[in-house]
Amino acid sequence: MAIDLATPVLVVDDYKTMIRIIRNLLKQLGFSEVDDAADGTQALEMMKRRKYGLVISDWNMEPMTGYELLKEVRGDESLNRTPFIMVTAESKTENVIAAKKAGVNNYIVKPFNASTLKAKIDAVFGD
Amino acid sequence: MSQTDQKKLRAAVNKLGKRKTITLDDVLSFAKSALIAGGKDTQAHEQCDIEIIREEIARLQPLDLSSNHIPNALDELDIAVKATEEAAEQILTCAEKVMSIEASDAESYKASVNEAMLEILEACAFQDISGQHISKAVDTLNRVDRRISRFAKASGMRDWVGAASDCEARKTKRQKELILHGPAKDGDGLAQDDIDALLAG
Repeated sequence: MAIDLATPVLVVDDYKTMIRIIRNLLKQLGFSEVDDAADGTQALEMMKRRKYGLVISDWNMEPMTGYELLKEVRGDESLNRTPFIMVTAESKTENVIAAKKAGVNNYIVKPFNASTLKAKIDAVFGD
Repeated sequence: MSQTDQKKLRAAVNKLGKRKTITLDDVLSFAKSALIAGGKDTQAHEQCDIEIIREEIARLQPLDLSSNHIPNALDELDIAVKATEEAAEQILTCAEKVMSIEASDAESYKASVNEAMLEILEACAFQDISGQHISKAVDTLNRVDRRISRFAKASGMRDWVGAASDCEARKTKRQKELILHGPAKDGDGLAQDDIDALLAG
């Protein structure tokens, strides 16, 4: 599955600064359609209204965490094929194992750099 | 401890637990019940122990902590967080400006980049101010730690088993269920390479 740079990407994070950083990095990578949400609940509503080609989500948010969002997405037939990358400061083994079990496509630990983000997106799309 | 004494102590604990607000008198009254139930029922002994607890609570200076030191420390942390956010915003704005500069005219490009770089250097001054605010908050935490440690040692108190409040219990339950640890200390969490290996395995 090659990357379609016109595909809409949804960035989910409760820190506006982090959304801005990821948005800029995605722009540098060539993505033109980037939306953002402040938590899992808002992200899920947006995903039901628009088809996203990639979700990049933080873990620790309220009221709905990125982990809960991942499980909701994987449990919804209309959304469960959406590639999902977790970008988070949660770096314990149990977090990674839980995310893997829930169906995450890739996992990036914060702080991260542009090349890591690019490598993980490439890996998700098999490039 | 006799069954009657145990009942008295249980009644005192229940009475204290049902209060929405707990005053110093409530704590002393509970301590008195506990001492009596514990067999220290001579008046002199009881009075002596209560005086010790009263003095230790006074030394804890809880009103001074809750009305001065803790609010001040929270203010210091708020200022540090805001300064960090403002600096990050300023640096991001400069970076976005540089990325969007028209590069056809080399002289003009150089001048615009230099201007943006100067703004980034200025924004980095936040670290000094934030560091000082955080140091003040850390001083307060150390002060609280010293007073509570002294109180715990002097009073010989044991921790309440379980959560200190319903709110804390709910928070702990949520953190456990949703695996919320927050950022790890250096060397405490997995590095990206370890995560990659775990995902591939």
